[in-house]
Amino acid sequence: MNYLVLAYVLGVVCLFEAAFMLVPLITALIYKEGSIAVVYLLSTLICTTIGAVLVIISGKNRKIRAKEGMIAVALSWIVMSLLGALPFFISGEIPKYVDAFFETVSGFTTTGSTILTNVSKLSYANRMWRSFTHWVGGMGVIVFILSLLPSAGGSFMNLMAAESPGPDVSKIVPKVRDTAKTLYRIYIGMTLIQLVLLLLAGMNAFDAITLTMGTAGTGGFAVRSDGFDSYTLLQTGIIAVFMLLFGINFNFYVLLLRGKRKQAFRMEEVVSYIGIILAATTVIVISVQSLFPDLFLAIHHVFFTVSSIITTTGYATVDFNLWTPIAQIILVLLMICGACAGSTGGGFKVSRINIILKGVKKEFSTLVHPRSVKKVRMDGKPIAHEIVRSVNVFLAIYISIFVFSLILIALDGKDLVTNFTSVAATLNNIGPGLGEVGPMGSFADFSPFAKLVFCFDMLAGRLELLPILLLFLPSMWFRRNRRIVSQ
Amino acid sequence: MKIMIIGCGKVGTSLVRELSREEHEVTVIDNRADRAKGIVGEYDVMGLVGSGMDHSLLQEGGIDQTDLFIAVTGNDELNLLCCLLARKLCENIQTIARVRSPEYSETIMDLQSDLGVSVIINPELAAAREVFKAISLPPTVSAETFSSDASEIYKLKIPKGSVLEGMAIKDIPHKLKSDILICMVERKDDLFIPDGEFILHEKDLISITGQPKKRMQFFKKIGIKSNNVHNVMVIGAGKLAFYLAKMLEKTNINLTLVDNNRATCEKMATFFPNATIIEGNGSDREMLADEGLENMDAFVSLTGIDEENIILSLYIRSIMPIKTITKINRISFDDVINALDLDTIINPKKLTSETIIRYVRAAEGGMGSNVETVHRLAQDRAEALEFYIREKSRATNIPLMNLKTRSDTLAALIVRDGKAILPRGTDEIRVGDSVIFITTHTGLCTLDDVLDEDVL
Repeated sequence: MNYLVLAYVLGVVCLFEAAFMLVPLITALIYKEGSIAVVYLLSTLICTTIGAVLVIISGKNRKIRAKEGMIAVALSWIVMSLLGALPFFISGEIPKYVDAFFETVSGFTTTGSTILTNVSKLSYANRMWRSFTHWVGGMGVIVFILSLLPSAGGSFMNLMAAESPGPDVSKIVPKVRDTAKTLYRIYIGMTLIQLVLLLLAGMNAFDAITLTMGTAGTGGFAVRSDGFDSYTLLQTGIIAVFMLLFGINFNFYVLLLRGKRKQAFRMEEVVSYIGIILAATTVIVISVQSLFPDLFLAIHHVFFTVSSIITTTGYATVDFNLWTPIAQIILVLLMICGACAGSTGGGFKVSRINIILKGVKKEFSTLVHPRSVKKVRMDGKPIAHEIVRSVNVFLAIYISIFVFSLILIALDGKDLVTNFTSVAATLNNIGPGLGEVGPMGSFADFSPFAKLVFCFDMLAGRLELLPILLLFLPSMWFRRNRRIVSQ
Repeated sequence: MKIMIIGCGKVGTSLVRELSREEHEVTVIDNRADRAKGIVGEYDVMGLVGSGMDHSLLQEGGIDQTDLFIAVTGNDELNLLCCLLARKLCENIQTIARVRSPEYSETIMDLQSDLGVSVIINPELAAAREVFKAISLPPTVSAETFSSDASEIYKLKIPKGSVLEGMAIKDIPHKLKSDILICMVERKDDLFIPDGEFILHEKDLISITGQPKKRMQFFKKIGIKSNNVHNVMVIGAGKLAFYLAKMLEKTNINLTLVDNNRATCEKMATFFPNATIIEGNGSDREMLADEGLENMDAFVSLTGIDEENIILSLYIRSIMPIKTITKINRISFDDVINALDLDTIINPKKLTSETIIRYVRAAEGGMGSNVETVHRLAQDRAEALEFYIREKSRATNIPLMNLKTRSDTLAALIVRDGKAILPRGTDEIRVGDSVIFITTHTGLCTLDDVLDEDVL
């Protein structure tokens, strides 16, 4: 383990976080929130100091191996959340540090679960920071940093692979930096388009900016205590469509930009993703139609909800706690399914489900023809056996974490639906669940221990389980080999 | 520059290392997933798995925007075919193919333009040329040749008890009456681009330039005997040995070739009736002695096993002071190998990647006064760059003492009308010259890059 390179990565992350905090700082100045501005100034200084110290003590060896990449990313996200919680805590608007930490983790991991019962009590700057963490966390902080660092060596790919969602991370263009840049260009471009559309649809600037950032990162923090009631159908419609778009694999957009439309629309994952959304919407509309005044409104709200849940955003225009059981079951399944790999969404990922189902099909065909040789294919190409295996392992780990979290959360004594959906909502980075944690509820009533378990789930879900789990592997931390002296 | 490399073996890997370090956009294709994956984890490149003959794979790698296509798989025919396909998919692409087989070496040049290959690289042939040149050098002296024969840099170790011990570089011309230039000194782990005040010590590795006659005089004065070669022993009859034998055939040097494979020996015997071909184990002491080792003036070990080559050369150096040349192909142990007392080392794989990098740099610099040849010196810690001056620039027609160059950068030689000129302070660079600079910086492409950044 190269501790010095960890210090370097963490240091750079702290410095970038200091820069990120300028956004709420400026917001505070605009809305004349003097004391909050001071809080952010202080937080920025703390981040800068820690970052500078870490970068200075870090060595010149910048080689990051795969395991160091994972550890560095996991630690970065924890440190980022610890520091990002400072403004909430120092300003006193979230009096308990555990709560502030939960809120920040929920922000960076684009979960959108909240411990706040009344959002509008929060200052503008803090609300902006909450939403901004969504936007930064959506595409990934490390990816953002990589796109700006002057020359990141090849081994920095290990960082990117650890942070990007999906079973198989590959580059779009030869250089890590250009790959990161391309992704961020698409991300920023789509964010701006949504922002402009919302402004044109008559939304006020603050709401438009914060909601767009929440949509882009598929986060889901609301900015008003009345949720989405005060927005027009057009505005929520725009948000629904963009949630769906941000849940699509970004390789789809890369292919579109390169003029390979045919290839883009043939991506199996995107096709299944759209298919799942259409099917789920149809079934739920049929089931809950009676709850709405007319069919159009039913379709609108159901589509919004489905799009919000499958992309793991978690915005809610209606309280789906009141929907029929079949509708709720489908929503819970969508929570677990999640969006496409390589998007900003969370969850299990459509491509993994595709691979697992294909693996099952292959297994059955070997039962019929024991000697047959078959390959699991994706987009017409055979995929390596290792990827199939790693997806199966992912499923196993996913279920284990789910079960353990469920047991730990159950200690708090809530009902089964609340427990089950709260774990599903955090592990899949969605936000609201059902029962007490439904769209109109919050996570405020859980014990501090349960909140920490949720924080772990959110981080594990965002970083695709393994990096966070590696932190708990003792052999990662002890040096077994003598350090090789490099020239 | 966008570069696509087919084949990720030893040469492919070292190319990737060099080219990605110089900030090119590199895409590597190999048919083995582990190799393609490994290289992506190590260097900042894109790796694809599949065949270089796969139409759609090349397109996925962006062949239509690629500037340079390099095929270095182990298979000559495949390399040529890949280049042909690449040219078909993208008309303006430059292609480089590695072709090693001696059977092709002559005919392929006739087919080169038909196949649409810009450059054909034959590492064994290039290495054979280096070996051939090195044979006639005194022991412990090795040479780097630039584009013309007049421009060469010689590297040697100052012998024990030499007059150079404790001498400052500025005193050499009048004390030794020899007109040579010392352009680089390696002392243990340190590397110096020396100025006049620099004091030399025995066992320093010095690199010198100068006219051939003056150079020989200098060798004599500092106590290095010249090497008159009549008999050469070569162990290992591979492709390199074949090319070498072909070159030696035209001289009056007697070749003794040892190989332990009967069929190989018979084949060599058919091609080279004048050479002495021995079927035997090169590591057999008695056999070497029987075949007249003590009469040899040079010893070349070219077996396929690096370790065997190294041991053989070390053995020869321990019993007699003749020229030994060792072929080493495993690049990753450079530092260990250089610590051994091995005399001249030939590395075909490294020669290949150097040639390609030279080509890349020349292609990148456009038509300005750009780098003609690049030589890596002293375990890649320094480079010798040869520039051909095609046009006037800020560096031309200024006395060198007034020319502000980068730190640790030195003009080592000027070649004008085929003659080597040792650059002194009053000399100037003119249009039409070839100039060799020694520098510790990497990635310099044009003459302007050599000048101090402050001037820019």
